[in-house]
Order: sequence, then C-alpha cells, then structure tokens
Amino acid sequence: MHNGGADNYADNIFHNYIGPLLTVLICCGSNIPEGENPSFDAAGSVISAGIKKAFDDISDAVSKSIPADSEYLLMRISDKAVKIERHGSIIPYIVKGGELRVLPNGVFGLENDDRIICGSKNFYDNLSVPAILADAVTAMSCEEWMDNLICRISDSNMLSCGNLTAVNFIVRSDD
Amino acid sequence: MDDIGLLSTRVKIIAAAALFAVVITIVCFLAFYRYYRRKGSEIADSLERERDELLYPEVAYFSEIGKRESQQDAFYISPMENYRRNGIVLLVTDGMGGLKYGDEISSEIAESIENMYPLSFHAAEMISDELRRMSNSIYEKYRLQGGATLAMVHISGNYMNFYSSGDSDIILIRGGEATRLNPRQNYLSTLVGKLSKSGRTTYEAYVDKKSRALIDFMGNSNPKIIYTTRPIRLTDDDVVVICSDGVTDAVPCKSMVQFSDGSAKRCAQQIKRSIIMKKHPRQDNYTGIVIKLSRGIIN
Repeated sequence: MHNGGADNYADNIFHNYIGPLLTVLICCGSNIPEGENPSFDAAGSVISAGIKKAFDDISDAVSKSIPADSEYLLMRISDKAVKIERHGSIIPYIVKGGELRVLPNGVFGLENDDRIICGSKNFYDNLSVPAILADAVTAMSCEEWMDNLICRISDSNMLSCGNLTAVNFIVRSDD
Repeated sequence: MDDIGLLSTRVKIIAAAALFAVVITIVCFLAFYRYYRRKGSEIADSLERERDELLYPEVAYFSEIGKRESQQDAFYISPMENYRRNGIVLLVTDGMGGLKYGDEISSEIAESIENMYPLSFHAAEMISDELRRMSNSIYEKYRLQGGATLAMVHISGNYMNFYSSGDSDIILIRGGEATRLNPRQNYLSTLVGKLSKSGRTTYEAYVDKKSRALIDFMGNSNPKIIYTTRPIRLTDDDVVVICSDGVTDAVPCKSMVQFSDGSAKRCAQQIKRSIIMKKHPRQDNYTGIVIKLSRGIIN
C-alpha cells in the first residue's frame, strides 16, 4: 500500500485470518474520478466480521456493500486451496512450473511453497512478467519479494505513479 | 470297451480345454503384443517430440579491457559436449574497482566454479551454500582488500537457475522486452526500501552519491547469495545476457532489445560495437555472454 506520490491513497486492503482461513479483499478506488472518494469501510467490516461465513455469503455481502463500479478481488486461502472472485483489473498470479500464470476465478489447489501475488493495474504497469517471476523465485520471504518489486517500480518512476496496491503470499506447509 | 470309451471322452474334454486355453493364450499374447508395440511407438514418438522441443543454447561472448589498466572481469562457459546431461553453466565475475586484488579474486571465482562443474541442476540451495563458502575463503585470504561480483546461470532442458552476488546483471530478453532478473545488491535498494516504507517517493535515493556502493559481493563474509529456489522456464527465442556493469553502464538493459534479433554472435557483436561507439573516456572493463535459445538446433 503506497500512495505513489498521489495526495490520497484511494485503494484499500482488508484481511482476516483465523487459522487456517485467510480472507483478503483488495479494493481499487484509484481509478474512480477524483472527488467521488469511494469508501470501502462497509466492505472492510464484512471481511472482519465474516471469517466463519461461507465464501459465497461473504462475496454477496461484499458486492452489496462496495461502491458501484469499484474494482475488487476477494480471495480466501484455506489449507490446500485458494478461492478467488475477481471484479476488474486486479490480477492474481501464481508461480507454477517455472512460469507466472494468472489464477482463474474459482477454486485452485495449492502446494507447499506456492507463491501468489495480487496487485492493481497500476502496480503491474511497470513490471514485466519475467521480473515478477524472478523476484518470486529468488525471495526467501514475502517482504523480500515485495521489496524487490518496489525497487523495480522505483527504477522506472521513483514511485511517483499513483497508488500502488498489492498483496503477496508464500504457502508454507506445517510439516 | 465302455471304460475306454469313457476315458476317450475325458481325454477329448481335456484336449479341448487345453486347446481352448492355448487359443486364449495366443489371442491374449497377440493383443498384449499389439498393445505394447503401439505403446512403445507412442513412447518413442513422445521422446522424439521432447527432443525436438528441447531448447538448445547458442553462445557468444566478448570481454574487453575498456580504458582501464587491467582486466578485472573474468568469465566461464562450461563445455557444450555434455549439454544434454549436465546443462550449461555460464558466469561473469567483475573484480571491484578501486580495491586491490579485484583481478585475482574474479579469476579465482571463475576457476573455482569451473572446478565445481558439473553442477547439479536440482541443488540450487547447496550450490548457493558452496558459493557462500567460496566467498568466506576469499574473505579469509584478502580481508576485504578486494572483492568481486558474480552473475551465473545454469541452463538445463528448458529451464534456468541463476545465482548472483553484487551488481552484475542477468538479463532476459523475451517478446521485445528486456528484464534484469537478479536484484542488484547495492545501497540504492536499501534507500528505496526505507523511503517506500515511509510512504515517500524515492527521488532522494537516486541522487545519493553512495547509492551505487555494493552492500554484498563475493569476498564479503557470509554474503547473501541470490539464487532461484525453483527454476524459470525458458521459451524458444529467449535471449539471456550475463554481463558486468561496464556493459549496462554503456548500454542500458532496456535498450538491449534492439540487438536481440538474429544469432547470439550478432547480438554480442552489436552490444560490443554500441559500447565502443559511446567512446566513454573512462570506460570500465566490459564482459558479456549472450545465450540465444532455439528449438531443435544443435550449435
């Protein structure tokens, strides 16, 4: 979450984790015309309150509470799978077979050490697919991966490119 | 007579059963034979297909002294004869300017890795540990009176692992876009990290005079070796350039795309020519290895 030199940070990220369920909502308001100031608070409270609810129920509640025309991505990671519902240009990627692939809407099985990143269009605009992939496979932690990506964006525009929003995950098995 | 007749019927039944069993066995044998023959040819076809789909690297390089007094870059390219079995290992190491022993250390690194060949493609963590140990022995010997960067790739099948320490570059040119794969271990990354975490833009980092100083390198004690925890898939027509910063200071990574059409040799020639054309009065040593991957062509 970085305002990228803009006056306001208009995107938002909400999450709720009660092992092994992690629910994440990424909202993108930076593409909504200035002055309209979308509020994602209501959608955020759905996430914080709904950890035990079924994914489809949370999805219904989020779609009702989120400002119209907002782009958002709802994701739930459980023990062995990730479920995704994407509205708009927030793209989820996963590293599989030495490649970076877009995660489809729906359920997708996960394995130990799988690496996932979800980001706004603005975040990806100055990153190539091989760059995201290379940083994913060389990083030992999510923080290191994100730091390296931020460095790449910074090399292009010194982080003066508007709101930057992304979340990344590395799946770790308990074994 | 009755007994014989009875026996004859039994024999007839046994003979018929035996005949039936033989026929069934023959039919089963023929069916299995046909099945496995078909399966065998399918396997042979798939092996043939796999061989056709395997990417082969074409390699070219240049290594020049520039305007410096000595050559502090070193490089290593493993033999191509064993490509199918061991893949190919290529590296550039750049002795740190301004310090004594840069040339000695870079040569030592290239030789030590040559002695490590063949490297296991599936043991990237072990190799990174080995590189760290190598750095520690350099540290013991030179006590920071010298150091070198390292950029190394290992290509096997259609996959690539890479290792790096310092600020030499590993660049992938794919689909008309050039990407530096390995993060540079310099002070700039630390400054950018600090500024971005405090929500600021990063202009200050780029005007800081110390931003290019290395924060890690071979010859440091226990350096962080960057390595791929899982290999990256390569595709037909990919170009990989491994180079010292003498190359990228003159020809920025993004502009290498214009040289990537044609063979590896042509690409290397064009990069080298472009550096010469810059006529930089203090041109650093410059070394580059260009690898062009193509399907089914043995070079």
